[in-house]
Amino acid sequence: MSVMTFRHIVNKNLRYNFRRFISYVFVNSFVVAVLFMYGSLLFNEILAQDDAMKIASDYIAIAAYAIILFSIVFVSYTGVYFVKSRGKEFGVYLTLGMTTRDLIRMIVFESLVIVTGSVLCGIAAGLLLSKLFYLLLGRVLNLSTDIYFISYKTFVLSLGVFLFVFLCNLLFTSVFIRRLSIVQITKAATTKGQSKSRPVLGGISTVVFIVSMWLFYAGITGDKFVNNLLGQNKSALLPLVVIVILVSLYFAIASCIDAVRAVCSRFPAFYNRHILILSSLSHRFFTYKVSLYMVSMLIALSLFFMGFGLSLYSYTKKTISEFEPYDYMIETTGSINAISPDEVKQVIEANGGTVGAFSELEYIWSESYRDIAGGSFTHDYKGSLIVSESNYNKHMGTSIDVAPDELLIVQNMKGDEAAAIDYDTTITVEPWREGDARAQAFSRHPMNKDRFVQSVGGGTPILQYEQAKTSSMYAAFINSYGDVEFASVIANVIDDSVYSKLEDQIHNTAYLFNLASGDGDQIYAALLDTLRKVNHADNSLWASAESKFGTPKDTAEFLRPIYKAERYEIAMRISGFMLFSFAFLGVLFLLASLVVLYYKLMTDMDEEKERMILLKKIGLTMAECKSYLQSHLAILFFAPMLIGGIPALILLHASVGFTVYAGYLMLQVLGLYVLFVVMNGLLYVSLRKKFFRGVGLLSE
Amino acid sequence: MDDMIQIDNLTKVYRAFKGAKEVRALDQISFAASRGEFIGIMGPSGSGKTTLLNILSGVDTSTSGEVIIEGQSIARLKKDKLALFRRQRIGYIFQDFNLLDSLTLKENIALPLILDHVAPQQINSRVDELMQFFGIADIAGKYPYHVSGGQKQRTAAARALVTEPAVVFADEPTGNLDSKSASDIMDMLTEMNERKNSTILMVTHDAFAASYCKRIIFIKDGQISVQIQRAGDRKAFFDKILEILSVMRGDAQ
Repeated sequence: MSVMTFRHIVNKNLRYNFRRFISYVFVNSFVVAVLFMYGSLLFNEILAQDDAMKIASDYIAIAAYAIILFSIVFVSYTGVYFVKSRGKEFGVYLTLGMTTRDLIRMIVFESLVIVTGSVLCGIAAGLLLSKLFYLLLGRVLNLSTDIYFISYKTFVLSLGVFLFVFLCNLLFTSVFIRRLSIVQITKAATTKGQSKSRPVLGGISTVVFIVSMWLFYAGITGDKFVNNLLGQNKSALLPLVVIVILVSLYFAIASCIDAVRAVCSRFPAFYNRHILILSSLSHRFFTYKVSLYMVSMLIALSLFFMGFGLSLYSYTKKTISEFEPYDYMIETTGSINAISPDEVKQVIEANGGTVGAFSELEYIWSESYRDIAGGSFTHDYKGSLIVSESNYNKHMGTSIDVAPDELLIVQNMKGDEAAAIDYDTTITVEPWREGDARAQAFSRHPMNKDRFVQSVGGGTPILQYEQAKTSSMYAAFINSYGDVEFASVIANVIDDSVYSKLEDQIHNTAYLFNLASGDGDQIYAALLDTLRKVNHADNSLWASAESKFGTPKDTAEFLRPIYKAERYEIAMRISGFMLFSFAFLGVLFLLASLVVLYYKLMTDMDEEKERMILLKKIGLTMAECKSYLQSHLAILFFAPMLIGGIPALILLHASVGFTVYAGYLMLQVLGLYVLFVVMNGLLYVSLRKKFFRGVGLLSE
Repeated sequence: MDDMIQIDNLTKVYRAFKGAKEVRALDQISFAASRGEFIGIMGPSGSGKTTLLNILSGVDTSTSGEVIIEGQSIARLKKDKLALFRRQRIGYIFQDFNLLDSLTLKENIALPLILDHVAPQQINSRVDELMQFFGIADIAGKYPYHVSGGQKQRTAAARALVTEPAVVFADEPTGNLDSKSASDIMDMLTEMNERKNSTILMVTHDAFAASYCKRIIFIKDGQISVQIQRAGDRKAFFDKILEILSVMRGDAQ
């Protein structure tokens, strides 16, 4: 016989609990893998160089909270469950005279094995899965560049967070074992699922949840009442509202489970028919509550990120030609791009092309301010041009007539024309640089209209229009400017007589034209070359087609001719990258929800197995056992689709509300949701059999 | 014939693994029990008591032989039919109670009726009556982990009776109980047997519990070794049981 040492017992114990250990190591490796994959996106230096990531990085950073929170909750949840479910075993050790120190030493040793296993498997899985994801998503989104990159920071993040949480867990376990009596530890296995029901707290949480959902929705969609309520601190308060939503949902779920049982017990026939599942729901309240909450949250996050990425992508695809109505646009101002229409046409023809529609639009830079009725005096963030009625008519082939005291605001973003005009307009007319500086100064120190007009002084023309004399319409009259993809622009169409008084101001002209035939890329390259010569610049000017944030709009650098095909490619690449990042996060959350479900099923399997033996002894038929287990599974799988899915859909609805294409985008998001539900259904069907077999229903 | 249970040449052979020596847990056992009988089955550990009960209640299957309960051969029933038969015609009291932790005591008792979709009112009156009978009406709303072993066993007994079964099987019902609770539960079983004319078959190794029975069958090595009938008071019967047990032990040595 071998020598019985402490190490010997620990080894024996490890081997005996092998199956349980394996599933515990599995879920922990999964957490490491999720963290790793997230890190591969967060610290991807190739992606970081892309402009798209500048926009996406905010969202990716927000996702960090969710992912780290998930890691903490899930690792502790499984840890607590793991320890508590072994209460009986620990109790026996303690009863037999093992000291709590010995026991803790044993657990620490086990933990070392678990940590090593989890870290190794997790990193391996993370490397493999992330490579796979990058490959697959890159292929699906048609990204040409290789964007796979793993930084050392990725390792630091995944290991750091995991080890930290795991250590905290270990600390909890040792406190648990040191504090509690043997009896309490032993009983932990049977009481681990129970917790008190708190109907009042639950009721309040439900109300709080609904109210905060509404607040968030209204806050995002720009509801006046709510925005006044949130006031200046809106940007600080909205995240707070999100936290309230998350916390209240947790307690609301708990009260839901209770309320369902309470309501059902009013209908004895119904209650009796479902007594097993209803009682098991409320009996194992805690484990149900936590896993339902986690899965719901993860589904919500996954749906939100994927839906958001998808709607951004679809929005770009849908609207790109509205923002870029002409194949090319060249803006001339002063000595920049000083070229005549004939010269442009010559370049096109010299390169084997024929010109299609060709139009010139003359405009003057301006800044628009709005004096909102019963509200404040604000600067309009959109690019603002002044166009005379006859220039506009000539360009668009219309016959609009505006009186001297009237203003027609032409929007190039569909839907904006529908917004109510509840303001008087003040327009300052001066060179772009001065106008921009004035607008920025105004944003720092807002003032009322009278003081503003006073501050402008006599040198700068000011145009003022009353609310009643202002109208608005939509037209794709210009190619949107390249510094921010598809920034919306307004043309302030005014009477010719008023326009003629602005003759001292800098007049700019945009040539907007289509190609009837010819090689678009070659012609564009030739146009760039010609204009570089005109501007006395070398090839370094306009070397990159990338959007330049913050370039002054009166420089040659900014006034790079716009080529629709090029903008299209760039815009689709940017939104493609965004979609990639969001889809990546979405898939990550989806995977996380799967593993929570998996863990719940695994742990339930043992409990349900005992229950099934008992129920069979009482005389339950196979069909009855199956129907009970089936409802149990169905709740786990489908309740989160409602609890998490619907709030996510509501938030998505709020975030696409800005565009007239909200309906179209929502339809796509709903399609995504249906896909979720269907996939979930398939998973449910495939796991059901495994579950039945696991609890011993199908073995015979 | 008024036989509630009829057992003919019941044999159960276990083989731990392929090629292992076979073990005869039951060897051609035959006996019958008529309505209203209260039979105890005793015997040393490994004598086949529990195997017998498992086969009788349809939890286990026999190698050969036949079990007929209320004229129904249970080996011939399909699995689900057997489950229903067990639920409706057999009451089962276990050593470890086998109550569902998630249900209140009342719901636990009602469970077999609930599963049969009996109308709630009917369930209520039936369960209330039984809980009165077993003296647990005041703890109807409690959960199994809130009550004592004796109270759990009464609940289990009430559950066994709720469907008015043809026969009640009890597997060491006093095994997990203290002596006071044990005699309480045995009093109740006796009362059940006398007042409701239930047929009870109880497996036990506790001579005290066995002394409540009307007849005792002693099993040894898978065969019936001796049967005794109670005549007269319980004390005398108890002594008789002890005597037989000591003889059987002596034989074994």
